[in-house]
Amino acid sequence: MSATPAPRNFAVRAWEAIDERFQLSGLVAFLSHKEVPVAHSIVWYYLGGLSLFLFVVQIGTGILLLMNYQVGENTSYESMKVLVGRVPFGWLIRSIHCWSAHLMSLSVLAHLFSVLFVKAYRKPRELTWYSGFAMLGLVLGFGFSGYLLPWNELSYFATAVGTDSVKAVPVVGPWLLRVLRGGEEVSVQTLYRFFALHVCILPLVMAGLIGGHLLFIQRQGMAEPLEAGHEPAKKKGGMPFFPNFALRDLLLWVIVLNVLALLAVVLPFGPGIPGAEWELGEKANPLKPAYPGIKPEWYFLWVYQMLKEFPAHFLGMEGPQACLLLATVLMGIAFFVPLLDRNAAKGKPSPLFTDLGVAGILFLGFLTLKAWDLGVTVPKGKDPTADPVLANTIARTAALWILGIGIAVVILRRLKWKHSAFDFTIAVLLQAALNGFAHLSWLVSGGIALAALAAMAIARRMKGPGAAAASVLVLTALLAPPARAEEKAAPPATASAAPAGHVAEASWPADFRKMFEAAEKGVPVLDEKARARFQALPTHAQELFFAAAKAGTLSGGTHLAALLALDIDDRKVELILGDNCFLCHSNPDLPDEILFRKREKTDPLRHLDIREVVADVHVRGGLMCAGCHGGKPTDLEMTADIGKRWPSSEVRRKDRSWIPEFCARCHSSSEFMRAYNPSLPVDQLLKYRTSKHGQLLLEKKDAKAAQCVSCHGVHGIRPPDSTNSLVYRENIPATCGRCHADAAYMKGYTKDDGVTPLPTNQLEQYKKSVHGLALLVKHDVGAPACNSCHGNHAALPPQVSFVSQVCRTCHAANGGLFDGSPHKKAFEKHGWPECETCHGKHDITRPTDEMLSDDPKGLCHACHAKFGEPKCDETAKYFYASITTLRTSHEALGHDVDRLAERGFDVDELRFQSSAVNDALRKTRLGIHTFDRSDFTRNSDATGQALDGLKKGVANVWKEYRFRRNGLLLATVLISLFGVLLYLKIREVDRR
Amino acid sequence: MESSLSREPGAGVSRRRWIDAFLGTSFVAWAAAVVYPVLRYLTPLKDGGGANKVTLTDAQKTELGNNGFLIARLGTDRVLLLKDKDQKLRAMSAKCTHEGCTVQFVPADGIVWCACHNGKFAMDGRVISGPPPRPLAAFNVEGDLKGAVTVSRGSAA
Repeated sequence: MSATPAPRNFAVRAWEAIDERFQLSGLVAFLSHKEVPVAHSIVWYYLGGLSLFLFVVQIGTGILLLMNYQVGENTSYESMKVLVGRVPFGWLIRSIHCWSAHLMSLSVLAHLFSVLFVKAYRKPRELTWYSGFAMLGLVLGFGFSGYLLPWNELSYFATAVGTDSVKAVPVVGPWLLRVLRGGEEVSVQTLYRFFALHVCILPLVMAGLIGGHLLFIQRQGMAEPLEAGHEPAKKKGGMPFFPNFALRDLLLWVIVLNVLALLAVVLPFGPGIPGAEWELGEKANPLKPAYPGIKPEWYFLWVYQMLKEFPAHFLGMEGPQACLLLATVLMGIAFFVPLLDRNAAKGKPSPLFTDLGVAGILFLGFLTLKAWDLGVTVPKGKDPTADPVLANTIARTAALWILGIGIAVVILRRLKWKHSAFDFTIAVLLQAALNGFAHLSWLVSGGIALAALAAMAIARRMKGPGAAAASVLVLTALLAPPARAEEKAAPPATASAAPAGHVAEASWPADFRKMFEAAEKGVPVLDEKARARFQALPTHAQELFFAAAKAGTLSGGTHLAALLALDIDDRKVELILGDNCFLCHSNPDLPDEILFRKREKTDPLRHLDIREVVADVHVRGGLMCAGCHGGKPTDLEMTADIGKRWPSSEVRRKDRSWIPEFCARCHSSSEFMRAYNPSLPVDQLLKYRTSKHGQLLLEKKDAKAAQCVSCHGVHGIRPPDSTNSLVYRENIPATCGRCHADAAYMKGYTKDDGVTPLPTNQLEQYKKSVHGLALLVKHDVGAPACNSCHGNHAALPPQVSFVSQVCRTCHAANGGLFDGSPHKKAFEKHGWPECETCHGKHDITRPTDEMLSDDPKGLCHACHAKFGEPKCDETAKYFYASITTLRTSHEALGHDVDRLAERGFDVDELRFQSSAVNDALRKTRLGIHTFDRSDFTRNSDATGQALDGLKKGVANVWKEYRFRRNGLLLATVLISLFGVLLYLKIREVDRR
Repeated sequence: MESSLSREPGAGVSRRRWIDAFLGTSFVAWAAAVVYPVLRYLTPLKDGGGANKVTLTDAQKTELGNNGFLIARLGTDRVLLLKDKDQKLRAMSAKCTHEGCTVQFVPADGIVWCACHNGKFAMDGRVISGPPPRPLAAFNVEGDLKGAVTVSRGSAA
């Protein structure tokens, strides 16, 4: 070879020595005789080589990553963190690996479509097409398996969703899913499998396929375009593969490597579009609920979107199954293109297949654009498609884009290459338009587009021959639905023999069987569901039904049906069956006696909801209706004992004071309560008597005053730790607010002075307060509710002197500091409450530093102007100045840390330091409660020191950033120089 | 510019030599730009990483000995190390499960305390009182103050 660089003699001699031993000159001669067809579409011929180059980059960077990556549940994410954050250039290697992976997928896809457009798949190169298609599958497999390896939140959920679609495969789906995941769920087993797949199995298979693919190309040479604008390819003699084309390949690779480095430094975590970002984020947590908006990598987005477009059931199949079938059919058509395209096989132009390729890109593009939520901005973790208005906007924007691109491509093809077949493109554009603008569903739009396609094919056929492919497609599309519709679900088989734990149907008593099989006008009273419910009941519950039927408390089929329709568990069914009160008073055949039925909103108090009553803590403990109302659960008739335990109905409605005494019959008896809950206090009545409510009810006979039932409810009382209980911590504000926030109800009630009306805005204030938000919005049950300050049964308005003691239960440190402070004495002198004076009571908001400011609105200033000495104001100013300085520098550094994180730096160390500053700053703010300069300074100095440490850390990372930027600049210059010289070399070689 | 140069008669051969020489040199420079990061990448870290395991420095050990507790960093976590009554070392997450404040050890009471809302934990991380909803997660700790002390994650292999 003549084009060896400077040390010619040595190189020539070395070459001759090697050639002598291995006879390589033959290979060089072969390569230099090999020619690349020179057409104006030569640019497409680089894509295969480019894909190969990117694959080699993947192998190289992949091997390097393996040296630091440790697969495992507790190591995968952590080792990636170290790799990206601490290992020198680890971030670069990973970023290049990710970028190169995406570019490889892109270039393989572009290669595939370019081969499709020049019809290079035609005979005799079918095998090259098939092997290439298989490699596309492998590339997607690489992407899918590699995605999981960092074991972060995004990859975990995306893999869970992605693997889940496998189960839609008929027959073997569930098995395949288990094999793929290494178990029922995505777990560390899945991680091991994907790791083996990604670094061992797929590379081996890929190497084999690449070898075959290249061999085919070497044996057959490169295909010439079949129809570059309908003109037969001119024989220009072609360009020698070596060195002319090979040097061009090399130049392209150099450029691509430079682009890779540039992208890796500028956008280390990807371009930030859905499906192409690889920030590590949070570690995978299988116990964490999945969040909406989880998306797979961009090349799977079309399937992801298609899955969303399918309803739960479609033509007798499950939605995902139908979707998978459609995707398989589409992929099958693409795969078998060499067989379908008869014209190209004969060397004749096949414009319909060119159009099919264009339409394929537009079809996939429309789905992908929709999956990108184009046209709406949504916060991360939200799914805009849940909102139909947003979903329409997305569809419209995506359709607009696709129509714009599609029409532009049609015009270009018509004018530049004189194309005339646009059937498929028109169908795809029609679908996008109908879906985007007419808001028809994607499937319906697709159906209409298919019909249009069929119409075009028929019109074409009438004119003359051709479009065989189109008719094949239309036929499959038209034949498929009836074929699918035949698959009807078989009715569920009814079990004839009773399984263990149930009474066999043959031994059911005759009277019960009559009810069970009762029919009205030929229609069975018990539907399938009720029958199945009875059959699923345990033996004991079934026997209770038989007994009730025998005793007559179960009156007939309607009654049985009503009981079986209740959506309650077996134990509760037994409770109802064991109590005649429940049975008789829920019988639809006795409308005058009925007390229980499903509660209706319009009439909430007239009837009790039986499901609520059997959930009552008392009923579940065995205290049935008779326990309070009198009588016995086994009574078959209403007896005189019932209703005698409390005053007559007129008296008991006017004077509610009997209620506490009535509940206390059991609840004040430690002997009695011990049998149910030994830890339950028995002093509620004693406390209640001392409370405001108790005084009003028991002494003044005020029926409006709250008693047991007002807070705990009546039928359906739950234990206080049940979230359904009216006195569960989170429900207390609403329970108290039912009276205390009702201005009409509270009218006439005053404070202790007897004059000031009792306010009714406490609930409203509380809801906005820091405590209300913590309890009601953040569901922090540690946050105080009304009873934390006011007490429960002994509810009293808290006195000035003990409010602050309540605050101290949580804010202990603040209280301790305040106790020794000058404010303590001053507040005592004025008779002011401690915490409340500055922070408020029901409306306590998060304290701000501005409370210290000398602004007229500042808290300290306003008070000191009236009551304090000048030096007090000075101290407040000093506190304010120190804290705001520290806060501002901390905020500025926090901003810096965020900027560094955006630039791809691992800022864990800085965030750790920042949290230490935060702690110190919190301590400094806490120290204000001493109202003492020297105490405060000790803390603020410590904060200053922590801040200095953070500053140094931030400066170091910025230094590293500049190093990276300069390194990139140097590398870019070097690569560009090499590229320019390579270009000159190519020109020189071309001239020879 | 280049094309006008190339058309000068007789300049072809020497031009080719120049191009070859520059091409070789720039290739070497380019290769260096690729190889340098790789070599740096392959050079092991002095402390061997540390997202799963961290070894205390002498200064940290002194602090732990003097104060009875220490807040150390392990990957993204803040870890509280303390000496219990038997002078045995224990490690747990230093992030209060209530509002995420950093907790501290109070040797006099033998409790881990969060100053923010008076949450109290036992030395094994159990909640004793206050608003924290969950116990503090445990970390493994090996060695003692006389030798090397390493802290590692829960059930890490």
